[in-house]
Amino acid sequence: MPSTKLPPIPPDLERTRWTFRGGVHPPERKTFSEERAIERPALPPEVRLPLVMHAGAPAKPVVEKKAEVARGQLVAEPAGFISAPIHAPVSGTVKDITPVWHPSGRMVPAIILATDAEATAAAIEEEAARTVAADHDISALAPEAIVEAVKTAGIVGLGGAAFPSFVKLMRLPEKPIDFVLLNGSECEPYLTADHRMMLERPAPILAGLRLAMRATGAERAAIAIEDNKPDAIETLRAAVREANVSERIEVAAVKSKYPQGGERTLIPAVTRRAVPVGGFPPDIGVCILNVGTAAAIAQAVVCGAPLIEREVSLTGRGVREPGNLLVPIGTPVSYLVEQRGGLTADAARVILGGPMMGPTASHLEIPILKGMSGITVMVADEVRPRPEMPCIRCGRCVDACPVDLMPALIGRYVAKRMIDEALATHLMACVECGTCSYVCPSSIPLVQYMRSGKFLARKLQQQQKQ
Amino acid sequence: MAAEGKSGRESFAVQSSPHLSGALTTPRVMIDVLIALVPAVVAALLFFKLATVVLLASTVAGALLAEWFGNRLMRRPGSLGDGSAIVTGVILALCLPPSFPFYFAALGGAVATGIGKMAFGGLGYNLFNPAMVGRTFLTACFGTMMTTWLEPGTLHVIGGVEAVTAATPLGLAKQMLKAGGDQTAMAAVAQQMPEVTRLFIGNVGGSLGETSSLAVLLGGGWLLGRRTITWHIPAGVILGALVFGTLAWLVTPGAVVNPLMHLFGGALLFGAFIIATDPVTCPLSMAGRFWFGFGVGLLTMLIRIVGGYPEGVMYAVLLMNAVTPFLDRLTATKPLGLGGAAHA
Repeated sequence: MPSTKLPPIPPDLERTRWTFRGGVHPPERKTFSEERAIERPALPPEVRLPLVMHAGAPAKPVVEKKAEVARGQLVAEPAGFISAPIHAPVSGTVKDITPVWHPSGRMVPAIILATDAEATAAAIEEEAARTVAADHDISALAPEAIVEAVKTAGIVGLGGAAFPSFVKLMRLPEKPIDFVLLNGSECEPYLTADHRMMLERPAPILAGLRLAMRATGAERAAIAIEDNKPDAIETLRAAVREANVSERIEVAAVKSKYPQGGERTLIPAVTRRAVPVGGFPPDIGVCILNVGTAAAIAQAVVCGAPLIEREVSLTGRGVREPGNLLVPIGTPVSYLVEQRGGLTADAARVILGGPMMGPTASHLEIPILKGMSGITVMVADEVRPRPEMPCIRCGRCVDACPVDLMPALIGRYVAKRMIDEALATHLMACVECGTCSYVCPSSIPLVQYMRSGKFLARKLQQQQKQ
Repeated sequence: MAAEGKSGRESFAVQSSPHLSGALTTPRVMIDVLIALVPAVVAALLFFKLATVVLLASTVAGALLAEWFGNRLMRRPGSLGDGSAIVTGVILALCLPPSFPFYFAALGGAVATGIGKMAFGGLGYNLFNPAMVGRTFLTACFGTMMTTWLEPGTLHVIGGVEAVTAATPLGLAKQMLKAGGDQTAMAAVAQQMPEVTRLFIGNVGGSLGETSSLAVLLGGGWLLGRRTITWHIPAGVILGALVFGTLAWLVTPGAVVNPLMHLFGGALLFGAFIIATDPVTCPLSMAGRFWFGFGVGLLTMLIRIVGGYPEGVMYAVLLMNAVTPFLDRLTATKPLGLGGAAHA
């Protein structure tokens, strides 16, 4: 499919305030954790690794109970093309292989490791010595080698979708990539992990971007950052200048607006190309990655490091000591919360992610998964329910919808089970960003209607196939 | 609130995202509209005194009663708290001539809400603007009483004969048209016409709310500032009216009064900012709203100039309400990324 021409990169990297139509401005509430440098809490006594922590088929264990494992060792292999391996985030022993509580609310088979704190700490020390420079020489690396390294390291999208990243870096002849976009928007309120990472460790992010460009064959790239993070924008611009890659990579300051960080709104804002409804970014020649994923890619390719830990924002009024934490994958959320002073008495809602799109957890006995970028705990005052009133057709949802749908209409159809009409008004194009529900003065749970509608539509499709 | 779960660990309520809500609520929208009507009510009180109070009380009472009764009939929970009946009542009262009998005003309020809103299923489901339904009903049933106007400030005795009647600016405009080519008749009418400035302030004959354009603009400014309404409908109405009015004036300058007079005399501005902007009965998309407004303005002028009535807003709004579902289909938004990769 022919793509529209990208605007030329001006030499001074000063393009700012690009955006999409619509959107809202929820309160940012980043002050809870944006000043806190990333830190490592004490190691948990055990980590739980559900075999499902990525999009695609569950991984298969390759270790047995009582086996000794070293940090970074493979413990589960991918099963199928869209799948990912799992590596041991800590050194220790395999305590059990049994179902555990998964954030989805189900019990999912998992490998539980008992942590050997000393051995793990020693391994972490060693790793600290291996850093990646932004201008690391990657000219000798073949694109296929990069893809293979990313695959064996088990890297998945750290922005939340947990899609195996190697698939995005592969060269597909029918869908050539000419632009790599790094998503550093972090548009959700409360979340600050990506922000801190851009400030504290820009080098692996930039190296990862260059690797992604080499793997996909893209000639140009951008790192998109919302303009409420001027320090991160400066840091990355300096890094790009120093690495001498300014003609091909730019740091685009996009307007701070929710949901600027959604791929379907960010890509048009930066490239002026729209992702087709029902399609994906490669359809229009774009490879989009979270900044954290890019850093993980650099570490995997250059240092051979598998994906075994990640930055998480533990934040919100319901946590006594909010912060940005670097934790092993599989750390129980209950342990992290305890490490940070516990929850306040009025803590009422635990959100795995940000408050606009994050799903909720009914309890804390769940592990940190590869795709979890934050845990927001809100208090009773903040989540008081509002009575649902009739839709007055005020049109605010239509005005605010970032993908130009008419949520009031679709919601009404779904409420009356008129699924065909809902599909005709583009129910499936909804990205569930929450903007419509946010602006609705009648407090209609539009996103919930969208989700129910999609569920009913799929059921209907399945029934029709039979 | 966190509760003790079955296994003794803390348990939290699970809820669909988003977990944040904007500050605006529907009752707040209604309150904002009522605030926007305050200048017009104050102006009506100044010009027409007791009649204003009586009529407002009557229409609002009628509307509330009809809503309550409608809910009972449909076995639905009470909805008086959302304030929409009060808004309907106030708008209807402001469309009535000050000498209108209060008992018929109450009936009008009841019909406005009862037929204009409850019969369709309540708030959010009605096709027609309830206040305009009420006004049309009253015009049909009590035509003469609906077109008897008072000079502002004159003593008014309900049903009595002491009030001083006066011709309204639009009534005069109608006479102008009827006078056709007769120069002397036209000149006589032109003499009685108030200047545009007086029309603006409102010291002229007319229904309670249409006299003061200044009051309406203040209210409209409030609504725009609060983002209760957007500029699309008011701009559309004014533009539609100006387009048709200017064309007609250019074609027959003697018979048609100048477009600004049309703009500031009568209920056009009230219609533009308060009546046509009723969210339930206008299109969903911004483009649809603009064309809706344009149609209202155009039709109003068509009715005033070519049609048989001095006042056209009420019919124009109802006609455009009927066309709204069609406009919705025509101006439905196109999803981002549908059918192609281009994006502005």
